[in-house]
Amino acid sequence: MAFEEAVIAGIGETEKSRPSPRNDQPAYDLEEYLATAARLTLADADLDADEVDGLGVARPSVETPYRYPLLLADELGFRDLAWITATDHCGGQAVPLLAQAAMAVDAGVVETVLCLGADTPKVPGGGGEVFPRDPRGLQRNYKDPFGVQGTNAEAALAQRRHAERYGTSPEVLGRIYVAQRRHAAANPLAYLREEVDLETYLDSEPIADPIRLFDCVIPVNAGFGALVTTPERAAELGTDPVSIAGVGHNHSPSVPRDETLTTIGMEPAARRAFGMAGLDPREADFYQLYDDYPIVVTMEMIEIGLCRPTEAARFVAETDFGVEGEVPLNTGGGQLCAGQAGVAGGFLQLVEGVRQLRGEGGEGQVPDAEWGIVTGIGGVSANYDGVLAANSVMVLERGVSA
Amino acid sequence: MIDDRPLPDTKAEHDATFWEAAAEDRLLVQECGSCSHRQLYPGPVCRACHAEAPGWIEAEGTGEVHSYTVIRRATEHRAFEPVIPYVVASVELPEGPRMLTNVVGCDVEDVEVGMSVVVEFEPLGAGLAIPVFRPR
Repeated sequence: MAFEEAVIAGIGETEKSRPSPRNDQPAYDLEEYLATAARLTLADADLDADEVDGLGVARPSVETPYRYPLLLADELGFRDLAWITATDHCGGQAVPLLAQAAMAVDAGVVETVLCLGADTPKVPGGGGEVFPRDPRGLQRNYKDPFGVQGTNAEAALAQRRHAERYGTSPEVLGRIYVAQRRHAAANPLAYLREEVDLETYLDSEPIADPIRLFDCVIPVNAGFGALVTTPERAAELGTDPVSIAGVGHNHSPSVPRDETLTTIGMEPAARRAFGMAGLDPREADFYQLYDDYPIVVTMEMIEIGLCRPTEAARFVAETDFGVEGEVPLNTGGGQLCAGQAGVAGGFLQLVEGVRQLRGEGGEGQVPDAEWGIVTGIGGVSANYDGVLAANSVMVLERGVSA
Repeated sequence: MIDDRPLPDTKAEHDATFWEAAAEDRLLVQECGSCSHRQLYPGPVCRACHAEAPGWIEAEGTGEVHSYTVIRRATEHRAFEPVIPYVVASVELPEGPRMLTNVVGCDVEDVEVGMSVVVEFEPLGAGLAIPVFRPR
């Protein structure tokens, strides 16, 4: 078993907000979110800040100076850190950051790593460019002049192609959204707290056919944290530990040419993670799947091994995604309904997975959750020649590994 | 004509070649001198075999709609609001590469996956033209 000497012993998650001139929602800056996330995580672990000897930072999408992790360590008052690291994997970076922390703790380089991720895509007054143009000029030269309206338009191309081939119609995909809205309604930290039915989903505003408003992830400002330490230290702290049974990644995946729009390329990451854990993905107690769009969630279900592409429409149409169903999906509402904190968005899946394994899911608790799956996807874009993505899959297990 | 349309930055060498040809109503794709892989968007290296400095060939200018979307709301580029609804498509060229482009010259409801299309060049001013496609 991997990571025998590392466990997750604390989590933190702030409230979500979408400040604008048209509302009075609070607007905090990036450092405030990171500081709050750190405080919440340390309080959850019942750990004094002086006991932290490692820091992991997920790079935000909003502009930050170079050497940002060092500046943040200083800003938050961490001194004499034994180890510091950062990830820059776009939205899916919670899993790779936690994996790095677990490797460092497992190797004995450091004892206790505080991992932080926050992003502030919503700027009051707007105008802030959240995702700067790529230096390669792909977007500037070969997308923008054609009016490609960002990720919504690219997800629409994927969904159209997928639907043509596999029958994944809006009526089918809407079941994912409706289930997650129900979960969000039970999550006090979710941004959207009212349930909707399938008809309301189908009637939501057309954005880029076949993508409608409720297919699009909802950007929020928020911060998250997770503490990785040794099982011995966790036992001293008294929090319920969660272990990492397996982890797998793949980047800029090679996918068959005819599948570049209909595939994320997560299969190798899933194979690596489940191989390490020695577990069958179909038997997990929950599925916290990175969810920028329901069609992406559907592709992940295929690629982690829940169904074949040709079965996907029927699988999504017939599976119960509720917390007591066969495939408890994004049990806190996911990013679609709880909110996507920019490129820290994937932390939502991670902290919800930990919460479930500690039995702290409240109304959204999966009964007797023993192990579950967390995924991350960063930078998905079906380029002209292939798929640009950083995929990650993590298997979390209740307690200290045997 | 769309006011304030985002224009390509043609400073980089490989991009300049593509856009200079487009201004002359020619659609170019890169072809690797080592492995014959063809690619768009262009770059300094063949993304199939890593050989440097791929050359260029002129595409015949036909294609097939691989997928498409009808833009109903300008969520990122407000400049396109006056032409909503419009079609953004991934068009597969017979030379191999797919490109993101627009399908014009027909009702947005008439576009289909698999539709045969042919290139035309829409002048953008400033010595630039953009390769879009219409039904054949």
